[in-house]
Amino acid sequence: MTDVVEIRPGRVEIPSLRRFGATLREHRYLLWQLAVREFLGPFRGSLLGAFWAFATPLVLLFVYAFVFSFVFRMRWGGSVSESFLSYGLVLFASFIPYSFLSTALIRSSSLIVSHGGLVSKVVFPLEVLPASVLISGLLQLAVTTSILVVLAPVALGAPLTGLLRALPVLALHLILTAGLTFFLSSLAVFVRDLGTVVGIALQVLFFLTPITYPESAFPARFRWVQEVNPLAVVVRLWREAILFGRGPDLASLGTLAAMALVSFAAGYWWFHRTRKAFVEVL
Amino acid sequence: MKAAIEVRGLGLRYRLYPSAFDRLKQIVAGERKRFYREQWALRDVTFDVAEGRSFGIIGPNGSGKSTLLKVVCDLLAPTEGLVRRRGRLAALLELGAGFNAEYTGRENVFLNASLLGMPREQIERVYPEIVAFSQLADFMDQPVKTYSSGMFVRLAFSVAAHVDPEVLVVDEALAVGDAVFQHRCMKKIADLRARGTTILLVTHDMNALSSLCDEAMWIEEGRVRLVSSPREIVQRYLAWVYENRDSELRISSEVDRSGVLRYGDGRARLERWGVVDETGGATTMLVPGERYEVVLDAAFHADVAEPILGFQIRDPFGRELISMNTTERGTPLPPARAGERLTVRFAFPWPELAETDYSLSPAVASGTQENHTVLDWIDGDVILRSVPTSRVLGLFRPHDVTLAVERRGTEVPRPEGS
Repeated sequence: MTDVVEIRPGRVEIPSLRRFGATLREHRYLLWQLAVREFLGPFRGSLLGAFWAFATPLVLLFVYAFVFSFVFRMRWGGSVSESFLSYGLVLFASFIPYSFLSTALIRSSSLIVSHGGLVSKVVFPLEVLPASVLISGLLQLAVTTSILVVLAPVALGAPLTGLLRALPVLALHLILTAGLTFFLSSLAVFVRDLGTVVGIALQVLFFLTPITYPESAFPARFRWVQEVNPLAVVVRLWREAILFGRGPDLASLGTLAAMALVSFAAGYWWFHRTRKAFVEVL
Repeated sequence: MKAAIEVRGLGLRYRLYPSAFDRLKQIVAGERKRFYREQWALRDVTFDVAEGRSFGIIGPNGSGKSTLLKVVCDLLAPTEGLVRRRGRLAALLELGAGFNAEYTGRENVFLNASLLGMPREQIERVYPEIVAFSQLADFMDQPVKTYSSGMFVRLAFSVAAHVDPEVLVVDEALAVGDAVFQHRCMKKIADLRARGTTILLVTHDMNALSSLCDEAMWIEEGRVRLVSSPREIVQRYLAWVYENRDSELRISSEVDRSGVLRYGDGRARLERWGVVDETGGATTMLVPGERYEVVLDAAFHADVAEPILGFQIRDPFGRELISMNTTERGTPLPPARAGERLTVRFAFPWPELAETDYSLSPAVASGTQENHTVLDWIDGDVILRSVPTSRVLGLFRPHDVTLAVERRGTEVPRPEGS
């Protein structure tokens, strides 16, 4: 590559999506190493290592299933049998998209600052950092989804085609999360208490999304909350597809696509608009 | 020849915000309101670096050297002017930025090399060379946190030196590590230069500037003072440094003004340094053949097992002419305790050095000749002048010179003492 780089004052250029793609491809090995570090970093040096990537979601699943089915005596109704395992699996499936989003957003709120040395001293494309968080999230998602894909057909008679139906939902969820990741990772450089705000917001989101309860349990007059909450749309479509082989219906998919694109466009624009100031702040 | 780096009328104005949040408000508010104070870090900087040439930048601390490199690397946006760059760039703004202490040497090499833009296949290919250059083959599978600071720096430089960029930007990265490794670093950079790499180098080291650069620039307060040959830059810069300070034996620790580079980890500090003549009075005018003492006085603020005191005397080109220390002189110092003070006097006759200015750099370190940590190093702080009784041509004249003249054709008696 001997192209000429021109550095001028003025507004920062927002790279085209094609450039974005080319950058990620060119730096795919860097991206992969950073993603693996994100994913396995927390388990580094621990006795069981990557085993925790499996064990942690399973333990959480078990506790949630126990509390909600035995303590709160919640039932899914419909075609779902009332066994502890079925309830747990529905919950587990619902948890996957939420956990992808929340892990990415929590990480975003310290991403640039924790890589401060890199950002201010090493010349590399910054978009690799949020991208690595997303890939790490996809790795975790692959682990949990593979547990689901093994257990669900046995316990719920889930059709194997469900995974295919879930793919478009997953793709839109990725785009949605990517937008927020770009946005928050940049915003966090300027607003250091963003981490706390994100933590609270995610708690609220968790309970406003039909993860631990069926949608029908949500009061009718607040139904609009479910309509404007993109995560609720994702969880509904994902669960229907992967557990029951239904949908996704095009209307919901369209709504979701619109939300995802707005999120991505805004987040991507904001990230590139502000990235020149990172070095000065750090 | 095409320019690899063109810089035209470059200026950078820092906006100093009271808090990071004010900066955000500014981005949102646009130009309607001001939340900042302004300060120019660079102004009207223009220069060219032709392809394959090596260009050095020198200047006192805070003159904008590092800021300039960051703009050239596209890490900071300029306020005015233009930088145009050709070729794949690798920047060494800080050795080991991006190293993670929890990971092994090997893992860090791979991540760092990919950060510097190397594709996987290439890293795998040059990995053995990187390891060989760093001389750390036995430590590659250990976490970097078990490394000494010297080992760490060696590994970091080895990675950077093997990136093989078309344009290499280096910021002071050479002022680290022990003398032996520094020498190897310089050699590596000289090799890259010989292979046609364009080099942009910021340094405080006159030696590096004169031996590695084709052209040099002196900047001060963000503006270009002079672009010229390294030789002229070094001369004029040292002359300026000399004018801007008094060269008395200093009894102070406040020297961090006007361009003196002082660094070290602070476990000990030099309190007093300078040259005294046989009457015990401080002097900076040295007559060849007379005996003088270089006096170094250090205060220790922590226990240091293997203290070393020493000094360097360099010529106006930054070349090291005289270098001595307690270890090398066969007088290893006993362990020093916190609160202790040590004074060392090196006495020797001043050699017949040409009449010009020489700089004295005193230092206190810890460790061995080959591997030590600098506790306090004051670069070229005292300017000494050699005043030979007769003019010395060249660098110096050996003492006790005798001559033999032989004439052919007729018998002539030989001179005495041949």
